[in-house]
Amino acid sequence: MSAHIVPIRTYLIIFAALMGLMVLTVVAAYLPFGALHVPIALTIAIIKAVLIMMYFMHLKYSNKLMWLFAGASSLWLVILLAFASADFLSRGWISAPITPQPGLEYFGGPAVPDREVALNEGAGGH
Amino acid sequence: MVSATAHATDTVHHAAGPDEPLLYHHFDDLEQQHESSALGMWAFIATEVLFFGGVLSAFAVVQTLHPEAMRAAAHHLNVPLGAVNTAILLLSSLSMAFAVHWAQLRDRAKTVLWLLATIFFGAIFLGIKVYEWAVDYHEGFVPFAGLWNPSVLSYEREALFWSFYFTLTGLHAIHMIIGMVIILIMAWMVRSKWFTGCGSTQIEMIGLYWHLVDIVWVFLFPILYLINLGSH
Repeated sequence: MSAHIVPIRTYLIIFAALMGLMVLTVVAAYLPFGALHVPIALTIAIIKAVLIMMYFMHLKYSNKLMWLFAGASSLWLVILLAFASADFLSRGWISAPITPQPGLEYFGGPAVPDREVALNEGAGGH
Repeated sequence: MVSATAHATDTVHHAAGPDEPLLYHHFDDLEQQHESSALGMWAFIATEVLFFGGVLSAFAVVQTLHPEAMRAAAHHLNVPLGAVNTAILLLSSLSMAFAVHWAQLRDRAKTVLWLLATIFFGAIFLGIKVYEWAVDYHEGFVPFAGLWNPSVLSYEREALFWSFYFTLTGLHAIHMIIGMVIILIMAWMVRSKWFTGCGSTQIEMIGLYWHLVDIVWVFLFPILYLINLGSH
């Protein structure tokens, strides 16, 4: 059989690391990191996901075609997130006339007034 | 390639060793057979990543547009229970990895034992999740079908957070239930010697799915429970 048999000891070490990272992410959430909460939480989650993929899902011992398939989903997810964010977050950067329409309030129609002001100031270069 | 196909016949080759996997006639060898199974599973996993990714990217947009409402809503979640559930799901992934390990070593009894342990931990996770949902329901956070209690709100847009919360945790729970049913069937098939090679490839493939479900929760837990908690 060609499959690489991962020893129990390796699984236990990875499990301990995953539990440690889980505690770390909960502790970090209660500390005053301000705007860094999202990057810290996502970085820890990505490290945990990579550990699970490498050892529990045997990617470390698989050939490069498997790496390509695993990486492709992440790449397309990043593209999805990037374009969705680029659309919604850049609305209001230019002073286009915004016509309030009922029903669009939830989905980035007319911006919340305070955010809109802040974004316009940033884009204006003041 | 020509020489490989020249050897192929329409009969199934039986491997020489004791309890080796059956080599189907359209594969060159056991390694190629195993890799094509794994590649198909990784392709399926890629579609699952983008399935959850679509909901998560919508969440990212709403979280950025309405941070105050999301913060107010997320404070109602039970973080200790979420953390315990994360630990239990990681534990179930560990026992799934053990099941794969023992299937590769052709130990039927231990494979079945660890598959059942995986289902057991999955059931505990779902039990805790159902308890959390029941609490959310009684507090009036279910944002549809007249179950919504507007008097618990600070912001009207908190309904958006709860929609995402129930959609994401619900989809995740459905994936877990499907996984647990398949693992149970697989455990029975290993026990009744349905598979050749102790089902090591088959157990490894359902293991890939179960670890994917674990990875999804690894992201859902901080995104739903944690990122809106912090003091500024």
